[in-house]
Amino acid sequence: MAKILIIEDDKLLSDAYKLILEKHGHKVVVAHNGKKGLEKAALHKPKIILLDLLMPEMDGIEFLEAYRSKNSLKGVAIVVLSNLGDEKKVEKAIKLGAYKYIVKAHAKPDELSLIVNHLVGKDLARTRK
Amino acid sequence: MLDLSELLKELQDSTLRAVQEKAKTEALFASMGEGAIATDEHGVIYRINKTALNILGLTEKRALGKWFPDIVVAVTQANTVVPPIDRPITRAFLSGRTISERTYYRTRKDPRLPVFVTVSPILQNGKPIGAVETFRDITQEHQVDRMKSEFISIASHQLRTPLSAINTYSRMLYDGYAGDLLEKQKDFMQIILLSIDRMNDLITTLLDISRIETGQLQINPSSVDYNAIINSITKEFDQVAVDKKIKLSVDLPSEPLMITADPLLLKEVFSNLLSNAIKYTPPKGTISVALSKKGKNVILKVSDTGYGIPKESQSNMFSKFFRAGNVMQKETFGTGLGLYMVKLIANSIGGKVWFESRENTGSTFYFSVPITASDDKLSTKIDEFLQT
Repeated sequence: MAKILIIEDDKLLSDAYKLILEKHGHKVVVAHNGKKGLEKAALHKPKIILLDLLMPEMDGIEFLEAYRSKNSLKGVAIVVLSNLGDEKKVEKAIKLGAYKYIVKAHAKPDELSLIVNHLVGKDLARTRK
Repeated sequence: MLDLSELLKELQDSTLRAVQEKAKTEALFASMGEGAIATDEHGVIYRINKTALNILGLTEKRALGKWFPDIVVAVTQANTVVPPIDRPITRAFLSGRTISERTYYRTRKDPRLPVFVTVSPILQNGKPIGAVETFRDITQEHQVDRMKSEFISIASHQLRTPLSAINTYSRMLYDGYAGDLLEKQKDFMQIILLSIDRMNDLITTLLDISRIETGQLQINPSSVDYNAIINSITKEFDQVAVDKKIKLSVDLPSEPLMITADPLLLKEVFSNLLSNAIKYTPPKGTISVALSKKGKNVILKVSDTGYGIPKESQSNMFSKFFRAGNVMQKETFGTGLGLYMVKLIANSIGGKVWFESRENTGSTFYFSVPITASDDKLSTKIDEFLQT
């Protein structure tokens, strides 16, 4: 079980991801833009952040930059939720320390929970020197 | 018997007629609405009309007596200079055929003016003794095309948002997040999921195409083993071929075949050719894939024993959204974008794609790509050709 923050502006999708992850026993917090995401990250200290890239207010890349400036990425895994055709942005997010990405139009519920479980099981602090 | 004065009169008449004919031809050339340039067999300009001078921002004095590719510089979409060997004028000389295509000219006012050119070689006893190029400014058509591509790009981006929700909730239903499904309900869900995958593929293709068409495609060449690319893609399609009882054979050189090219684009081309071959070959057919070096190029060959392409459809095979008449009834799913995409990729990386096909016998597609990304020696080859 892990504390997970979902930052995604499409409420239908964040609801679905929340439902899937809660069913697998995780504690889930949701924010609908990068700015709210930063606030909730500071408050809840999630181990895993599912991050959408295109959002109003503060997008995923801006969130990553702001988050990194205040927090260490040690022990935190950021998984990018991307869309078809977002390859350039995904590349940038990975350079900024995102751990893995999921293409939303292809995402399978089991895959989502598998990735999360895998990340929980992994000693992130050790792999991220 | 003719007397001398009659002979003289006849000579005068025919000289007059020749002068008049020449004046007519010159007036015709000068007053053409399209730019027109005539060169000799070496590509040296000996006539250029007003429209051409206006479009290019040249004076007659600057153009006459100059080598055509020097004075009229063609550039690619990415604004790199087109080497003389790839210019239509050269290809018209080499093939003895009329060549038409879209390209860009570097003019005084515009560093990348879209133009449509047609070059016809002037042949005498089958040998080129010169060429005439006509061209026109297609800025407007170009803008309309661009707007169309941008529209497709925006529409595809917008389509992805609802599709992501459809995908997630459908998969949740299928996986039992809302309770167990009956067998029949699962069957229906499977059809929905398959259609979502197809929709995803279609949107990805449309996005890729609009990216190439609007010049936003990034080409990242690196040194890659072409054999490995073919092997990995073939593996992906193995199961589909087995399911359809199609024999898939691959003939690759024994040594790694290193080339400098963008691996993603090579994969895209081969996936398209192979998936088409599988799609349009009936069960128990054979598909063979081969890779071989030929001069400075590597040629990929994908042959099948499929439905083939009817003669009347062959000239349109690389057109956007085109599907051959005979397969429309057999295979309902197909976008008519695959080969168009292959052609676009070939054009952007200096490659070529072509095919041979007979209806009800099969098709063979060829894709050739230079071993090295750019080869300056090629342009010297044509220089030599033009100097001789």
